[in-house]
Amino acid sequence: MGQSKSPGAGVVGYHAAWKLKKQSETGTHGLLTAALGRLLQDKLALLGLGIILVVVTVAVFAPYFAPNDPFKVDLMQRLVPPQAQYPLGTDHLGRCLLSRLFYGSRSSLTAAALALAAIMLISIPFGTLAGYCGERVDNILMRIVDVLLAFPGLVLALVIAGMLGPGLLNVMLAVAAVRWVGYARVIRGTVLSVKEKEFVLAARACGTSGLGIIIRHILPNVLSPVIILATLDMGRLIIAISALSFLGLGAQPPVPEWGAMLNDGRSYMQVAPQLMIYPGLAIMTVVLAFNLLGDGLRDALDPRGTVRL
Amino acid sequence: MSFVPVLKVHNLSTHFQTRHGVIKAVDGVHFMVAAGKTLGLVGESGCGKSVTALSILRLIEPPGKICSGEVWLNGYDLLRLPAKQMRQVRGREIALVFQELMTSLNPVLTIGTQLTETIFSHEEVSQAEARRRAAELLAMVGLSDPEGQMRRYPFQLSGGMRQRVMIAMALSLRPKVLIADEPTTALDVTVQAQILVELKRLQEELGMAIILITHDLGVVAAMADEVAVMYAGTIVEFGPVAEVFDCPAHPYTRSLLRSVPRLSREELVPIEGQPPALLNLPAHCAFLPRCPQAGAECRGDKPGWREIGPGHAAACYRAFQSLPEEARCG
Repeated sequence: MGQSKSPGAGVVGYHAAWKLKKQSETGTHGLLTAALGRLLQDKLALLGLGIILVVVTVAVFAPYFAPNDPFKVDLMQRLVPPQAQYPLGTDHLGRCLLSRLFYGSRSSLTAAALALAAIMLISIPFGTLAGYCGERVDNILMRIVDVLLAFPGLVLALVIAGMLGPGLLNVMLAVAAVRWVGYARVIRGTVLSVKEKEFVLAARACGTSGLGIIIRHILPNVLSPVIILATLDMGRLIIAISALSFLGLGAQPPVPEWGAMLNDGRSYMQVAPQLMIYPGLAIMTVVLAFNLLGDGLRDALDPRGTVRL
Repeated sequence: MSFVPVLKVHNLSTHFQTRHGVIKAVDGVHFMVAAGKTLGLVGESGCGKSVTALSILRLIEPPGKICSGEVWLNGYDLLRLPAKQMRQVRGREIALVFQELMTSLNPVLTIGTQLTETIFSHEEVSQAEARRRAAELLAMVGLSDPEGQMRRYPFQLSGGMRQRVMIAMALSLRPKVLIADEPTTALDVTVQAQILVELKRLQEELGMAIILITHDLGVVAAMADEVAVMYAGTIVEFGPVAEVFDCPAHPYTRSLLRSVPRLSREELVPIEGQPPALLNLPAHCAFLPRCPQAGAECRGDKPGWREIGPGHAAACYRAFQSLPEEARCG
């Protein structure tokens, strides 16, 4: 789209067209395939993707990777520095720090992923409805969004989590309840612009129903901005959940969670700095990885990217 | 020549409510089309051609509103049909082809998906059957390798190919009436000719009526049986194509014909002035400020229809007087 119209597209456009022809001849055409191809050429995004894959693998197979039982308290071995049996040392209760980090990745990633799922579940219908119905419905729904946006996110999440009581599930809900508004806005905006496209009118002229148009024509076009936003936001979700856990609202002992581990290590910062350094590093690395992947995806899924294949 | 109208549009008015007042985009339009015939709807940009097309299908969005009129098809007035039945009419009875080639196809769906969707939305058929029919349609509109095209995305097709796909989509349910809104405006002339020939052939094959909306008088001359000239939301002249082109009766039609470049003529004569703003139109003839033949009677009420020849009429007080002697053939 647009490659023949953009100014100065001449040579590039021809080249792209030739490449496309090659692609379609080999039968590997398709928008997602093309986007994936572009993503694979982005080294930083690949790095991000690699880190995420490693962390996910560790989370899934934590029992196999963990050198020790993460829950086993051994008061004789408190705050042990790194050594053969405890590669990163032990915490204030003598539990293996590395094992707890491995198991902690499970809570942190699942919580963020589930929060994201909850966000999608609320924001996609909400944003689509607001964008598609327009006028009054749009006004009412968007004012709700405005009100929620007026609160500082973390404070509101803190209030909700405080009301629901501590626990990882409640923290997820609290974060989702605060974060969905941004998605709803982006989705509404995209729906608004897609709705004005001729193909929507063409579909209506062919007798397609309103629901059919939303499902077949509008949602697929909304997908790519949502994927980008979600990937970029995964990092922020992990931080938000860790932050609430750090404040004692999230994962409850003895469940290991990175934010909670940071909090546990706080009192022993001078004696055993590794108790804060490693969970902190873990959070930072994962957040960075998601941001790198998100940036790469944004470039890859940008339709204007078709020109510079 | 028997004239059996399939679609009758009677006194159709579509107005847009804006902050500054009412815009009468379409104001009392009448016409009819017969099966197997083509009606050319011509006029300058913004004279209400496309709004007329959208009004027939009831696809006008707020702030636009169809204020009055009747659109008769199969003995039903489309403007009074329940929404659900109206959806059945769209695509099955009346189909629409757009001019916007870049955005009329959904960029994220394959051609095949978009074609079969139209079939699915009206008929209960299997996936395989729908795909077989879609391939048939693509072959019918003259695309080679229909199976392969169905797997492509719109951005992988050229403008002409996209327009053929659009036509295939419009024809997928064998509609009785095809409204083609500037179907060839965005194409270069050779492709334009191909598409027009194809449309003509398909019309003969399927016996459908075509309403061809265009500002290209050459296209109308080649394609249409009858022509309706629109100006500022109303039809000002109507008649068989040869009649209207040979002895145009309305001063606007005449000016329009003079502003078409021809090899045999040295000078192009543009129409002086601008088309009127459709906001707060005056009570008198809308063409008056630009009319070279205007007289005192033109400042009164809007002129009614005057018959010029068989089936040929113009809405102008001076339709007769102003005709040059040698051009008077009615």
